[in-house]
Amino acid sequence: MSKKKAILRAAAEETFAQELKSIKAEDKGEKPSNWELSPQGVLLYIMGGKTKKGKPITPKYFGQRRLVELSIATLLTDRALLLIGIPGTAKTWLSEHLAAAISGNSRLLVQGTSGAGEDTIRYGWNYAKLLQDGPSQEALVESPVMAAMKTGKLVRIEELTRIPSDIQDGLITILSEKQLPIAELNTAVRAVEGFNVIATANDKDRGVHELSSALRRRFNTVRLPLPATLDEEVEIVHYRIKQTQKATDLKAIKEEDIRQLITVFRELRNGHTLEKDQKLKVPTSTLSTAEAISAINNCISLQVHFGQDKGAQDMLAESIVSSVIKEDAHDRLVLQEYLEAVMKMRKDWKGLYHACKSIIDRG
Amino acid sequence: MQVYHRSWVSNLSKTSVKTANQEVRLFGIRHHGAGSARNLMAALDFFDPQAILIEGPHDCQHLIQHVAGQNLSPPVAMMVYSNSDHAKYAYYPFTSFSPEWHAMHWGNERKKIIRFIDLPHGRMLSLREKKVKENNGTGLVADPFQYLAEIAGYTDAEAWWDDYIEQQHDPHTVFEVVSDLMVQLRKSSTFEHQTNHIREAHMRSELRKALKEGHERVAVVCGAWHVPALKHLANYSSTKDDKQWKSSRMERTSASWVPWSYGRIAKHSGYGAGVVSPFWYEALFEDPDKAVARWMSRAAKETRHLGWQSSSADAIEAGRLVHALTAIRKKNRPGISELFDAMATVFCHGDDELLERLRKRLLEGEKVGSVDPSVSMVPLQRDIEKQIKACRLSKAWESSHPVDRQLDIRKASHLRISQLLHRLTLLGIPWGVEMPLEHHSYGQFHEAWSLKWFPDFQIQIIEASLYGNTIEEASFGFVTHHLEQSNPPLDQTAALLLRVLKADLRKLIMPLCESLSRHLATQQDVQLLLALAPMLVNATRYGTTRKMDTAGIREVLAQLMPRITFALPGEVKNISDEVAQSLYPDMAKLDEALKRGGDPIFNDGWVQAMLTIMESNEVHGLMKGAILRSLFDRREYSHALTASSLQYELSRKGDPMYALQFIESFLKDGGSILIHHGPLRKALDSWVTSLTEDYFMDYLVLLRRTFSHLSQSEKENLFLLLNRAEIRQEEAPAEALATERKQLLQGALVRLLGEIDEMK
Repeated sequence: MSKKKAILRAAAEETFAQELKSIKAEDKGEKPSNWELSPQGVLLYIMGGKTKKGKPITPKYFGQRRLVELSIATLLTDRALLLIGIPGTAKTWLSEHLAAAISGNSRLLVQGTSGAGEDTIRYGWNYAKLLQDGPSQEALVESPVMAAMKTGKLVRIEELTRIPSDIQDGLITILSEKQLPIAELNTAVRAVEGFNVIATANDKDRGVHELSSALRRRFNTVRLPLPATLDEEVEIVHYRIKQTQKATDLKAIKEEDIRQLITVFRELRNGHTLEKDQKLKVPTSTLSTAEAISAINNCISLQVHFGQDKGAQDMLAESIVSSVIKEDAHDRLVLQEYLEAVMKMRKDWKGLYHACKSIIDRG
Repeated sequence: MQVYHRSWVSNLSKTSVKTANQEVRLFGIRHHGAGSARNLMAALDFFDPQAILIEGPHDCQHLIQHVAGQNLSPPVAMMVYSNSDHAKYAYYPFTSFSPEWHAMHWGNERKKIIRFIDLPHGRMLSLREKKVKENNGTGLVADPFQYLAEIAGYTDAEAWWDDYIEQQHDPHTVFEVVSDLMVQLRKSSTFEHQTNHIREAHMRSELRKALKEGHERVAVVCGAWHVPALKHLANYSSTKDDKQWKSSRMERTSASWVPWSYGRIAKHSGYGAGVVSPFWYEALFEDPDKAVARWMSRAAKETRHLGWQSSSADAIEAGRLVHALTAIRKKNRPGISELFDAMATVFCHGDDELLERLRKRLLEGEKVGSVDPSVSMVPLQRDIEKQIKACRLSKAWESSHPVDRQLDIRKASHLRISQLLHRLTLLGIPWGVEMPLEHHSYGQFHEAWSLKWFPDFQIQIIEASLYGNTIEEASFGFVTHHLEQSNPPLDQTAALLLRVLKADLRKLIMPLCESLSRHLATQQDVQLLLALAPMLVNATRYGTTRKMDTAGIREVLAQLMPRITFALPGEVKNISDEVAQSLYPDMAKLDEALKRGGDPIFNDGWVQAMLTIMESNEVHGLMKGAILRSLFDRREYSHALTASSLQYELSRKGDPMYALQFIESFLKDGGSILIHHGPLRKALDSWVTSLTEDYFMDYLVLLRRTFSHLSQSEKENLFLLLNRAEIRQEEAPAEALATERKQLLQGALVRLLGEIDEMK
């Protein structure tokens, strides 16, 4: 093997292995069975801070502490955890880090899709073996859920509400009886202590496959909100960009530019200006914090690779327009109105206004 | 914080003051502190004092004896009021978790001497009047524990108390810790409160008195803040103390136990020593270990009341979550924040709006105490309760939930209830609020009431008792008092007259009428007369249904109506928008009242006045529109005449504002008139289409508002009718409109009636 190729994105427990190790080393708190850390340790890992020895722990979640406390506390009880919120509120991010800190493994993952079948939650078969030998343990293909039950780990289910209702309901027995019957073999897998489920669900398409009340009762729901203030959101975006971009590239964009972009996002998302003196139309596109981060990353790449003959304002405008106007013609009108009614009126926004306007006019 | 507190626990200075064979122990408590109450009871059992001195107004002393057996069930309050002016009063609330309450109970059961040692409320009143400059500043004095809790990062003083103070399991030590804490706090506080000094001087004097009587063991139960001031009696001069509190004038007061409610103990009610949630503290006091379970099962119940699903399993899970959270947050006991976080997750599925609704119900949830009638009551209250019982409404009185009653006053029992409620309202005790009837019945026999009891009624009853000892007597006294004023406001007198009729106080009708006619004679203000008239017309109508002699009212009206009908046509000319806006409702009310059943003579006079107004050109649009509509409704104007008048009034092209106001009041009662009467519709239609574009654009907003009174179905019908009319016109080329105009018509009306397609 020559030089080891860098993995595009390592799992949380790998990226932060050092931090987890140093927390674990001095974690004296009582650990629930099969947990890698005590609840206190998990909290420290997620919220950041310093270990007793003074090793810095980076914060993983920037929202309210009480929500993280609630999430951890839920995993201590009999119930599963459902993280709910609009896209880009760090649901998946939080669930991954919870799994990494608690089970030391964030890779037991079911991605919910509308085409998900029973095998994604329960088990499937290796058909070659099934045809040859009939149903047997060897022919069984475990789902991540089953694997988690056997090992007493956390399993993550992404986008739970996208999974069809009858498949969703397969979780009921797993969550209430803590066992997964395998009718074909006349046996059942019993969950080992430490097993639990973290599901995430999207608020915007909540109506897709709403949880049945029987299933809903097996979950405690924690709603992850969007950042409450502009400053908070700017800080989050800044932090995340610093993590992903090279220090030299970071210079391509000024903090003031980030602020402007997030202001645009917040105002359009909330339907009013920051000063609350003007009502605005809301576009159909999702303008979450995550979207803002990717818009700025996009902006930086443009600037670094093609930015010789263009100013930062143009790149920023490009990012804003492409984030707001995705496919809907309605969004174009919304943005046009915003440009004329809000941006134009702000004295120090002249540059951004003209940049945006020329892009829209181009079509 | 914890380390610090440990260190000063070790070098405790004694809170007990021992002299020869006498011992005083100071129990610094937190008012309505569940933890304090539990510790205090244990401490009293241990100390077994012969005398208990409690921080309570000295002039309420005689109320202590009632705190025993089943007489009072908390929450209750002591109400103290000045004998000379009942409007000056104060409440001292107690709950089942108030330490003082338990101290009284404990003492009464064991036949100990119990005294209230705080400054008499009579003196507090005069101090308040002198307006001693006070710095009422922070919550430090109101609730030092809350202050400390906040410093330590707690939101809830009870949770802080549990974590920091309750750890001293020996109740004796707890109070010494509290005492030392307060000494430190007061030392470092720059807070100067004159009234507080006077009160503490009084408390010291009382303490000296008790010691002089020779009791071996004296317990003092007072707000923790006062402990340092009572600790070293020798440091204060007894003559100086006496002089200090005697300097304030003593007002004579009376006091009585009254039922109280949790709503008024809660912090959000503005009560200084309020607690965040009385229910939570009650649960904590009864059994701290089961408090969470009790709270959650109550939450589950309230959730169901709000119409969401929640099971016992939810309550159990929420309880578990509370304990898990408490552990993560490294607290000894759960507090309010843990409770609400768990509820948000389990019951509300993370929805903040739902949580807010649940929080409201849980925190504002009501529990009302009760006071046995034998304990203390003014005679009027006894009479009120007797009457309520006779009306079979006892359950609704002192109930925390509003009760709705529909009455048909042709039934004797219902009539009785109606009279009682009207009489109470007359006396300023608004227990029943008359609701508008649901179906638009002109029923003179139906009344709808919503009964909601408030603890304030107690003071209102006492105020009303100035006028008499029974409801009837007090009502007479109240009305007589009103009439004895040198110049009673006419509108109040007229309102009273209607009330008196409804309350069936026949004897008062004549005096009120006489007063009215005497004062009317000198009254020049037409607007006031116009406001009075509808009340009186309604009163005659009401009196007739109830077979009462309304001749007196008729006489007043006979004096009043000609003056109105004579003066009004002149009065409505050339008036500003503001005057028109204020005259218009009264005029509409009078018209409505006369239409419903006024005396024909008055009615004729009124119609004449309206006809005169219609003739005049300087009348405000609002008035004219309403009058034209009324004349049309009364069939005084034929369809054709109405249509031509409408056309005429709208034709004043110079002043579109006039037309708009005209239409607004003309269509006030809905647009069905336009649907059923083609000529009117046409007149209006041609006006709209005749507007020039500039005018149209300028007044578009107002126009839309004018038509916004119309109901959805009316708008749709009208739209269809107008469209059809146009098709017909197209078919008849002779009448065809110019294309331009047609477009305008279509565009304009569709916009006026709201985008109907969109609404569908």
